[in-house]
Amino acid sequence: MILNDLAFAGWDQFRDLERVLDEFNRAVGRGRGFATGGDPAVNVWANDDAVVVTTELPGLDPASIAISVVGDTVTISGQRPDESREGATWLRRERAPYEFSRSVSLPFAVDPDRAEARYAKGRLYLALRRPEEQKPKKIAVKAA
Amino acid sequence: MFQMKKHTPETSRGGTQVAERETPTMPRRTWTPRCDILETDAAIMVVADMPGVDHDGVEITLDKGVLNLRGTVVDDRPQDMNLLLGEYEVGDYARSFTLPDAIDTAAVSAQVANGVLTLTLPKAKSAQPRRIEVKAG
Repeated sequence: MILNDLAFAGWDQFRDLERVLDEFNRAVGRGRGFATGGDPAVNVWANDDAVVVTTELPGLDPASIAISVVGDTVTISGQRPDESREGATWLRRERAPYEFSRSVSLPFAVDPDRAEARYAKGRLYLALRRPEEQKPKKIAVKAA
Repeated sequence: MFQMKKHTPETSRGGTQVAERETPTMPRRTWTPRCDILETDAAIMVVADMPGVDHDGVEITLDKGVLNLRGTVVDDRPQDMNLLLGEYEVGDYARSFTLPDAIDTAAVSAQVANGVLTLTLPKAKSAQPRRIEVKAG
């Protein structure tokens, strides 16, 4: 019978156990060791002019992702739909439907009117620009 | 706290790094993608989260009853910027499953959409190893 035959290749079972322990560790250890942390995990990149926030959100409808910017805080929220299929039986389920809301503090206030968000290949790329008047200014030193 | 080995980094969605039993050929990690497996009367479906992978980056092989999924990401880190906060690491994906003989390998199809790979394996009697091409999704 197909259901019983669908076993996993050798050491993969061990990896499964490892992943479960890893997720447990992550769940109980949240908030320790990292200054921030949350779901989904984010990477924040910046230079003097702009900041980029990236995160991995596979399987979302781009229209279901909400992004709001207030001052120097950006909040990303959304949900992954329930992918249950009519007449299908789960043999394994690791990709549960989820809802998330994540706020990230940015290194400076950004201009919400010039925000650019892209969702492609299950990744969210959010580029935010610093208002002109708040950019660092170079001060020339004159010789006396 | 349970610890199988020294700290294992994670992807943002909790996949773990593949055990270090092979010498890495690329300066990038390989993660175990989270997978769902569903069965209907007609087929088995394997669904894998592979953020950062599009249809060009997926390689699926089916040989001697073992299904190998591999996803290669294009790292799109912003240019000329410094990483201020790094909570996840970008990497490739690999996972293998053994399959029953009763799969029609000629009719297997795959598609990738929004970083999710969906593989449909129709049930049948023949079990010829073959390479599966990924359609644009």
